[in-house]
Amino acid sequence: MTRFVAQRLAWAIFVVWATASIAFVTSSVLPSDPARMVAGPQARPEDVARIRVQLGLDQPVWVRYRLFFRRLVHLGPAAEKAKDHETCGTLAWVHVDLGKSYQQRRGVVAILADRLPRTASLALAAVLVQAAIGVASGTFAATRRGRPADHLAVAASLVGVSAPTYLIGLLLQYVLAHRLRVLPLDGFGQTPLEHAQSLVLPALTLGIFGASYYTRLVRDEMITELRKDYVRTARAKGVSRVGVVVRHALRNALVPIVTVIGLDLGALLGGAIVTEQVFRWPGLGSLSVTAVLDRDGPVIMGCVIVTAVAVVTLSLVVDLAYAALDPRVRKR
Amino acid sequence: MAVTRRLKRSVSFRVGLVLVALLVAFAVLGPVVAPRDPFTSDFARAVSPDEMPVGPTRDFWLGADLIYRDQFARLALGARYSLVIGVVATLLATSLGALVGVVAGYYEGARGVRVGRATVVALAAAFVAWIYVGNAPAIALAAVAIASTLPPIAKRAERLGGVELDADGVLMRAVDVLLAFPFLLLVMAIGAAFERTSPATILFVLGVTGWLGTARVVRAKVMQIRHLEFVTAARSLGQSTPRILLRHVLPNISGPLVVIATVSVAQMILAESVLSYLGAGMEPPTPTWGHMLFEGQDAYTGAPWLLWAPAALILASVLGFNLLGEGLRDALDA
Repeated sequence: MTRFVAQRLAWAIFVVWATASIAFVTSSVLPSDPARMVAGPQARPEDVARIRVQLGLDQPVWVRYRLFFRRLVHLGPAAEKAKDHETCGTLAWVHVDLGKSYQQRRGVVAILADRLPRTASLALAAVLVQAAIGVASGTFAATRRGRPADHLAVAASLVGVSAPTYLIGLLLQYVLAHRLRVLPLDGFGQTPLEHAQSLVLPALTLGIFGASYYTRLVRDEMITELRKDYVRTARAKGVSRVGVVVRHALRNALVPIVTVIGLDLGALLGGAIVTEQVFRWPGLGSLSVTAVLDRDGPVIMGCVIVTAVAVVTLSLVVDLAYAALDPRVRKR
Repeated sequence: MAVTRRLKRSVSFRVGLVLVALLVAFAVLGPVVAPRDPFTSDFARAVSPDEMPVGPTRDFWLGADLIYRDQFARLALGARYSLVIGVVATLLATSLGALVGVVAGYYEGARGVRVGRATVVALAAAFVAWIYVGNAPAIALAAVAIASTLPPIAKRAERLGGVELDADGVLMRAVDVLLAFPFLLLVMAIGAAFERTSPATILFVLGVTGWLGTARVVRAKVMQIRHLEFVTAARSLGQSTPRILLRHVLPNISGPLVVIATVSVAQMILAESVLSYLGAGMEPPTPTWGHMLFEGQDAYTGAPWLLWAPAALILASVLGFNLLGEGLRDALDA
């Protein structure tokens, strides 16, 4: 098991490194000029050149690449915000530094630390909504296979899969915020209560979209499980219909679903770009959109790395959970 | 002819076919029958008495947009872009996915180049040394890595284990890496850098990003059929591997491939609309459904047709291709 964990961990680090390298090289071969963006369109050429030197953009790509990774993880004083380390995130002597945002003149690590909890709460809420709706409607459809209720659930899930999230979002916004006025239109609010209220619409939007996939997945899994012998045995020994469905079949059907939930959570932790944009949710998704439009290289790199780390960590967790449950996986 | 009969019976296939046929007709005929130019503002007839754009009338079938252009003509031209991008991006992505999937699936389990653990560790150490220390130790460690591949040393280090680099492993690991990559950011970065996004950029990005799932599914299918008797027979008759893949393996996965491609058109249309909604799609004044919807969302109290018309078109076309794929899947049992 230790060997399995070590191998998967090494692979996870490799994936993050590869992703960061691809992003770094791509962004440095693109013909955009961050110095020009910082200086503004009216700036004199010599000012743009001076800013380019200040930002270190006059150096060749490989020098910047090396500096980027050297800064990314390094050792330094354990004290908070020591001199020359004010943009670092510290964990004892280990520092993580993504440099300074070109536009916001703040450390990228600090900016990401502000945004991450908001994106994480949205991701968690969305995954809860989609799992709850998806498991309920999928189970419901599977137990009524071929009947009108099943057809309705399948049709509804197909419409849900076909609707872009911004469409679902705008519809919910129109009905719940504009017409009924029960929830805030968008934004983040000031108090914790307002944060929670603002969370409902984006979480529902992502949840409804995701639930459509889950409905079909749970329905297919449940139909397979309900055909199995142990279901007949349980029924024969007198377990109630609901008891068989919930305690026997659903428990087995949920194993693959939990995998998908884990992977979805990883993808959402990188920031739901479209939904955050529709609801002006100040998370990682909207941060990355602004960063791209501003050519804010350090922030873009930060967003890419957070996304990659989230995806890789959650798939690592899913793999390890599988290996812990099923010894056959470890041997591969 | 069981497939045709099953297709005719399938409700999803019939509904999907009708939706897609309507969409194609709209894209082909719409710009021809539209009485007005999609790019010209009509300040005389498209302005209502309260200075708002007019709603659906006999002149403007689907109303006018915020700068008084004919929305029907714009949506019809947008349909052409959506369809062409959806289909061409699907062709690109599905071919790439099929190619990678067939190669990976066919060579799954085959022996590859074995790279010893000593070599892997030395290479990683060389990289770390280059980052933190400098060129000299990095070159030294790289030399160690090369030396460790020499037969006498590699033989001794064999008990340490290592990494097997075979075609399947390398391709599937590359898929893993790309799945962790935030592509929406990449598109937007490319668009922002070139100051404008051309249809070619969008096709490139959708094609490059859309093949990952296809490759995985195709690989699994190929692994199922590569040990069947006709493949073994073809090989024992002396056919070359590319020929076997092209003439025997590929035709046998054409069913799933058709289903994947159909659903992929839906996803590509969706992806294109998301890009243009976010302002990373084709530049205005080119009409794209996503951007029209973006402009319409702030006007829905005064001019609701600017929101519902593109929304209905996006939903109907994505749903149409999804239903078509669903019907095909059931009929082909793929």
